[in-house]
Amino acid sequence: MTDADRSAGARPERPTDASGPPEGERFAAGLRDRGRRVRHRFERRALLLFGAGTIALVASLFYYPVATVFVEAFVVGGRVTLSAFGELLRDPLYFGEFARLFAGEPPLAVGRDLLSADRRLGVVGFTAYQAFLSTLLSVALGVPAAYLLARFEFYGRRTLRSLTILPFVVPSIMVAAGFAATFGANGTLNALLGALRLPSIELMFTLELILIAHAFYNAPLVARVTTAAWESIDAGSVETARSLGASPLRAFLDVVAPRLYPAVLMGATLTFVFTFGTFPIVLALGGFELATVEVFVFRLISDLDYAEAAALAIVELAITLGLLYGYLRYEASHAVRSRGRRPLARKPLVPDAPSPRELLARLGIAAYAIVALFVFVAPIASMVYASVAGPDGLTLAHYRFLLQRQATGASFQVQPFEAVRNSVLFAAAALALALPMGVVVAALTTRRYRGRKLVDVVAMAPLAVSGIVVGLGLLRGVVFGVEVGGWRFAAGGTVAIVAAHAVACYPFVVRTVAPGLEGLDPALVESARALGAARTRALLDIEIPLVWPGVVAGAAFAFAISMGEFSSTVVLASGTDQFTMPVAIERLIGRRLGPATAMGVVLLAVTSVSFVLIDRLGGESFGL
Amino acid sequence: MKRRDLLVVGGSAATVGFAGCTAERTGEGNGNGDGGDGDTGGTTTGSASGGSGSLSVATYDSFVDAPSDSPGEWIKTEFEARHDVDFEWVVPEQPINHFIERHNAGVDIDAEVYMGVKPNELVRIDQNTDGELFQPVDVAALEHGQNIGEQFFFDPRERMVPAYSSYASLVYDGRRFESPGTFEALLEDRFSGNFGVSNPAEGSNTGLYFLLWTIHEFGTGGEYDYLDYWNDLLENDVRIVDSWNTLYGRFQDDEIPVIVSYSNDRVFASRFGNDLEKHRVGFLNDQGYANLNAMARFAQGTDDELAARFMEFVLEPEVQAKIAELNVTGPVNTEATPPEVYREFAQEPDEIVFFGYDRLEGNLEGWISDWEREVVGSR
Repeated sequence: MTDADRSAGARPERPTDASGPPEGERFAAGLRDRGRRVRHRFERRALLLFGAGTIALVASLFYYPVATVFVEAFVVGGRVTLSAFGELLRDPLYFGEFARLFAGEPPLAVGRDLLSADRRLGVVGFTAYQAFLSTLLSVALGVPAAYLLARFEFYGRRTLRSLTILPFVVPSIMVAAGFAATFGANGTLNALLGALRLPSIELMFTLELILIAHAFYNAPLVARVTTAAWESIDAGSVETARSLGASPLRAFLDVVAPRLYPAVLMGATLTFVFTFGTFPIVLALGGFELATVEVFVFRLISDLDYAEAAALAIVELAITLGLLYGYLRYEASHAVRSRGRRPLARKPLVPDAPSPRELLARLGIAAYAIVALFVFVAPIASMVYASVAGPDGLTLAHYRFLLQRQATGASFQVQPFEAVRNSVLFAAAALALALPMGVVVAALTTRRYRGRKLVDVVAMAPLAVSGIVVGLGLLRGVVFGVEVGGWRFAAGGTVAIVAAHAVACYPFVVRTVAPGLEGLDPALVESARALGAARTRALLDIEIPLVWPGVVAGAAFAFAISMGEFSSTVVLASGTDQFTMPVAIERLIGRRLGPATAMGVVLLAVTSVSFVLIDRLGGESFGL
Repeated sequence: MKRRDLLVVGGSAATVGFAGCTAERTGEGNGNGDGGDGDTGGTTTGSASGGSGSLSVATYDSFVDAPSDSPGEWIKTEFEARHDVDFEWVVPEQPINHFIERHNAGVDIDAEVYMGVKPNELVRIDQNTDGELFQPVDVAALEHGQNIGEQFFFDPRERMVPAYSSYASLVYDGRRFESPGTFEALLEDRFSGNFGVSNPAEGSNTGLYFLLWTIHEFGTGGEYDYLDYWNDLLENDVRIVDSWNTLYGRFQDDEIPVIVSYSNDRVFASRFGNDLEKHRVGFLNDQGYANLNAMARFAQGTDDELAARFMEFVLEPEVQAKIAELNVTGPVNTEATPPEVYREFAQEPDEIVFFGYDRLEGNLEGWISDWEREVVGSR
């Protein structure tokens, strides 16, 4: 289609009399033509333009700041050296028995000792070990939730789906308190076990409790991405399999499961990345004996021991990015092609015609619900309870404190309303930036060219770099700024916060959108292009509607990440009037947890409403 | 169509760019180490006539923002009323490290005074700054300067002006336990899994004080040194959690009944109507570890006059008493009388334990990293 054709087609009301259109109208039409041409030209370049914009933003608010810290690992005392890495790798504190390997001991002897009972994993080894177990548990708790949300219809399903990622935003101090109230010696679980005359369970300060807390944060992530994948499966393909004689199980294994593996694996990979960088929940619920890599990065940076801190953070990054790269290779090679999509019909939770199969599935859901009640609902419920608990029974005093602070607080103190307003505005603005950034990067990395997965993994780095390093980098590279020719260029305040949030959020959009784009039949885009649509137009009109559930899921994640963000915000804020809710909570913590807890409940409430709105605005519409 | 519009609008926003950027000509005088001696006459911001002006004082967040104990607001209001100046608190995240970074990057520091420097922080500052972050202050020349107790000074180079202090001690649930009384008692079965401390390595003051206290008690490198003691504590399931906030939370919800906290705990307990039977303060060997806090003058500061007036203000007996009440810390001016509630509920140890600058310098990092290896390395 040429421009002329397009404009002709778009002018159906053109008068048909022989004299042609009057002068004015011809002028207006010319203007419209011109506008359309400009728009078309813009669309042709838009993808590249946004790509360049994204790179500029991520470079100035992520790569450069992080580089100002990472360089310390390579330049020690003014000399370029790799000694920091050498020392680190040979240090048994970090690498346990592996350190001997790096020190040049024979692999066989080290391997033998690794198999012995008193082997030492070192901090890095232990961190990987607990991250692996956390990932298993998160998948085990996340996939059943996806099954429930994707395959069953029940009252409140959509709201429940919207709220799945709520745990993402809960500050760790509240999780610690909520978990103590649920799983502690005097907690809800033990009270219930006592009432049932069962022996009590000691979970506080164990590795098991850390794993459960990690599942609290990450199982919802697995659930959400798996749900999105499940909802994207074309019912037609399942029906075809069934009509060809496949049993329901066979159809599931052959048709449904292959579409779910990439999503589950993505959830698992992200869970591993997050729990590998876990902080500070490990020490809050476990204790220093269970310290992970990030605990040491924090300590080293606090002591300004930058060479070792940077080297450790780089090792941490290398491990997580290596894993991400492995996953991305898998994602690219296991994309399942699809054309249109009609989602599978949901089953009612109460079966119409009870059969043993159907009952078994419901029984499993009931058992899962009990577990979920303890892992997800009870800790949050106890946070809400703590916000209204006082020494003499129920009280609204903590909320009254927030109101009073709002009314009389000084300018250098946290103001609750401003914190709520900022959180919502920053998250909305960050979302508006992160969505196009993520979609563009997803589109650019699902094109076919050599090394595209390397580009993809580099684009994912904001997920994997230690938050403590990013915070210090932003202070150095952005707040203090860059000095060029007698001028110091610095940034800070609202715009910088929003941009930093967007940089932290957009990888989620990429990860939820890219698998869908990868799976689209290239013929769809090619036809659109052959008919004259610019690449951007094809993306907007053809591809995005087809991967819409992924876009909505990515939007929800981006929003959640922004709502929960702490370290960048507190560094970039140029005053208390730019603080967000998580910062307010942190600052309100004192001898009494009450006011901070009340603020935490406000955070939960505001976030819940936002999630529901995002999902409602996103809609459940599918297909072209 | 709506979705696409959303994306397009967002995309346009992406290109709007950096409205928050600033570009400033880097002037002279913000470099490193150009301070040093404080008697350079002083260019003052605002009018130098002793009338109006503005003063920025830096501090850590809980000094101004914690709902339970923050004197920041009162200090601002009172100082402004007395001196007809605009008073501003500057409260960056991790303030000490923030100012070290800022100084080393050669970026201006606007604040004149820092409120609340601790000995271990001063050691860290001196070890990591190029040139001087703070300048010496002639305490004797300050009004009330002579009344500061000798035991509150900790800087051999006289940059620190003591401001307030308190003591680390045990806080225990008196309904379930008696005071352990000694370090050895904490190794008994009854305290197994019942004693907690915050992580000394993670910037927690009480945790660090307890670590230093064990070093004071058991020494380093001997037959049974502090690391041996910590090993025995670990055998007895000591809980080492991330922060004092977490630790205190677990004390309040009865998960850890004996913790390392402050000897002024009962002031808070009585203020918030908590069970005073539960909030008991215990010392080890009748000792408490001193938590010393000082004011310091930034080397880059320009308004010597106003900075001195602020320090004198903080040292005034009635201001000292007010800080004692609001911050729940003890006064350093020996002429000051702490408020009734403080005298009634804050306890003082018979013996004060405390490592000075000289002991900490050159040792602190090694002590902590040896401790880390002992606790984590055996895994």
